[in-house]
Amino acid sequence: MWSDAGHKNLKINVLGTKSISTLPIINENAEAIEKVTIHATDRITAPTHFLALYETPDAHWGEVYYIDASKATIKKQYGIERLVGRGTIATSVANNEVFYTRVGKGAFLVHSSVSSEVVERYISEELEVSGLLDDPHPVQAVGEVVRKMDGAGVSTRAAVLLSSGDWILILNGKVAWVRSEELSYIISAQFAELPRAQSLVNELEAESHKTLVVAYIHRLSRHISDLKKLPGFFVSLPQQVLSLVQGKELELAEPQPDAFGFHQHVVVTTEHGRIIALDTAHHGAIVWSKTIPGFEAGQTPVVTISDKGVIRVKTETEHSVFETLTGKFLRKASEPTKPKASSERVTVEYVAASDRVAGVTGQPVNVMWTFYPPPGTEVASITPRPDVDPVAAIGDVLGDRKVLYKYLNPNLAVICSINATENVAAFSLIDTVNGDLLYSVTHRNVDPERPMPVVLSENFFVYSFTTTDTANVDARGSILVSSKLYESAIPDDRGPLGAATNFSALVPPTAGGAFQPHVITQAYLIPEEIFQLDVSRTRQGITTRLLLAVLPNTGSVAGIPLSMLDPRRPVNRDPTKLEAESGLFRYLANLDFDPKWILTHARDVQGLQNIIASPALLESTSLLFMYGRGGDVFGTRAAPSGSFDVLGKEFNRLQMIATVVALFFGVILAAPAVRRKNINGLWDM
Amino acid sequence: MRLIPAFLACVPAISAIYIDEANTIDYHHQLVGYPQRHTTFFHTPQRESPATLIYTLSEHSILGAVNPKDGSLVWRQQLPQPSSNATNSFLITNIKNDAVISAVENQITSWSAVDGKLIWSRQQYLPGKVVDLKSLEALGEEESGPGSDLLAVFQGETPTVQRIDSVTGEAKWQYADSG
Repeated sequence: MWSDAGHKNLKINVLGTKSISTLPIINENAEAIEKVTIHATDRITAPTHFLALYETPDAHWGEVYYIDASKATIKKQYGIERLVGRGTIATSVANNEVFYTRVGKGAFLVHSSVSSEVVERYISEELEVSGLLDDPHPVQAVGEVVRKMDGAGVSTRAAVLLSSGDWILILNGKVAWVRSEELSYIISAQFAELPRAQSLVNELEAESHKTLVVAYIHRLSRHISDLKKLPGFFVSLPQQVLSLVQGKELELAEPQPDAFGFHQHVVVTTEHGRIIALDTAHHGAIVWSKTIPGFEAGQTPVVTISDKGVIRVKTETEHSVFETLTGKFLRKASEPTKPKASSERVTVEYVAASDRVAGVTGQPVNVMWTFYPPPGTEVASITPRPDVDPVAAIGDVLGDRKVLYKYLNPNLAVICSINATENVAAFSLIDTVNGDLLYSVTHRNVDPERPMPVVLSENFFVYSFTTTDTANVDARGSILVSSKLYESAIPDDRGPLGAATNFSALVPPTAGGAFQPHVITQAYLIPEEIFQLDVSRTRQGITTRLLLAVLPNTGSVAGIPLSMLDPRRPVNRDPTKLEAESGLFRYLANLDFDPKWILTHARDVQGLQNIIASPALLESTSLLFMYGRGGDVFGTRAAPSGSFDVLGKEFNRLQMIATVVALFFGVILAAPAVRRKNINGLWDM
Repeated sequence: MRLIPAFLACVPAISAIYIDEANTIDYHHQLVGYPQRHTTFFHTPQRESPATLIYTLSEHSILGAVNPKDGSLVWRQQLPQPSSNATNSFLITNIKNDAVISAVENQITSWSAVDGKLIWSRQQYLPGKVVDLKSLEALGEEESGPGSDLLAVFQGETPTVQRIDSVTGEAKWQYADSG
């Protein structure tokens, strides 16, 4: 079957005959038909009907035809009325009857091949899928229709794929469940904190800048408006107390920022041009989902999360601003003003080509430095230190209370360059302000096709690669290399900079030499390949970091404690007493992934490729989110040093309250006796 | 203040997830991707019970079975990704063996319909890629019809048609159209 170019006629040739029947396409309003689809079943035993569906951008209608196989004629049975909005048809067969389930916007109809009347009709205002902020339309549907036992009517269900990427099941006109299949097309993800936590800070700041009288009035009015929340607080009080006593987490009704900061939104953009926000506290449920204005296929929109509770989405043609909490479109924005270049702050940007990396500054562009990777290699990736990387301790404490001071330079980057023909990979650590090469290492027999993830944080960097087989050695494996940077090899020594309070990257402290850190490195053989590396982030950096590794072979994500990867571990000997005190143990070349480190525990997770981490308000916990193209979405919370700042579930609050109450009554009862005894004692003296 | 991080560094950081917090602090969306129209259908995996599942072979080449009552994923298998977007994948039912049969590129595989376990898999390079797959069950009931085998059409150097036994996966006969 086919139609002619102008979509005016439908031409059908019954296999086995030479004739072509031409059927006119009824187009009452003379609209431009976008698509003609034929819906039929593939069962030989079903009656030979088919439905031709005509779609235009705003409407759809169709006709049902009957092919008489014996006479090879085609007869029109009935027409399907035109409905506004897009729709689709699901075909199913039951008991020698072909049913056409029609899903449109707000309409769910069942047609039968037996008669021209509509068998069942459900009208709803809108598709009840929560969180969708724009109006999606059905793209395709499959369904089944079953005649009810008593013969009165049918029971029908259809699995419909919407244009928003949600796959829903409509059972007798109502949406039974929703699968958000759009989440398997994620291309970028970021954590967005809910904005209300900042408002008190902003208010206090505003008050401090005004005169005394104005600030006092402002505070009074703020307290009075807060009083409105008092009844709600009392109502929720018993529930809160009960949940505290039972040790369960409180399920908050509205999206309020909770005290621990576990409630954040993850804003993701997908390949099909949608931006979706997931809620980390409500099992990753979708809060809102909408299309990105100005999106063209193949682009990567740039999403910036700002502190004020808005999200900026920039495509090549448009720049829109949405609210973080609800996804409402706020305004079209112009370019955010870049921080003005003043005489005190200069921003150096570095750009990479395949053969060099250059640091440029200012407008017009002025090249400050150029870095060339080792000869023969091409730049494959640059990994900078994260923007927000708080460090709590400036040194590693050794067993005898001496300190190895860490090399903390906020402008570091690790450049990975690969020579694909000779299987050589080079990792170079540079200072991105002056382009100095601080450390460089070359690895041979590296497989250039396999992933080589690098992560740089605080004073360490970790990378991983897979080896190839060589002429002498047939074995292949994956290697994880961990390096730490210190100011000097000698404990209690600050290195050439001494205790200077200022440091300029452009003026080296010793003539003719850059200040190179003392680097300690160790490599380990790991059981499987790592696809991506990241570290967990916490608010103040006190908690030990967890190295997060995506392991595609076993479909899991491991959180490796960094104490396992400490390069100061003693080689070929047992640790001395001092080393054992600082937590070092003997170096073993094999690093097996302890099953307790696997964050995805027993879940069957496939296709993870990327991880992002975000700090919670609690210092001990870091929120993690993992996704992949063609893969699942997984999120969790990690507490690498245990939950040291939160009372655990085992803490028996009920027993504590009971003890306090019992002591209170005991004190009241015993007070008169004790007082009498004291007075008698005074008289006895 | 220096002592606190020192203490934390000494804590043997065994980070593990306790069993009572295993499913509460984490969340997981099991996804298959967009279902394709021609490979998605309702089907009863076992002839004895009337329960149906929705089978789909998605755009990501993931074969999955979804429970129509609550939308949860019953089982899924990752099939090899086709090398180009133009390659079609196919999914048909095989009622006699309680199986669903998938064809992607050169590989035809039969999976148990109720739990997704592999029954047989056949990969052949000489006839080429699979361009169509049909089940003979659609032609009629088992006893009177031609049986429950499969017909596969390959696009290799010459177009080839094979009849494949649905129980073992072996080809019963093959016809190459050299004309």
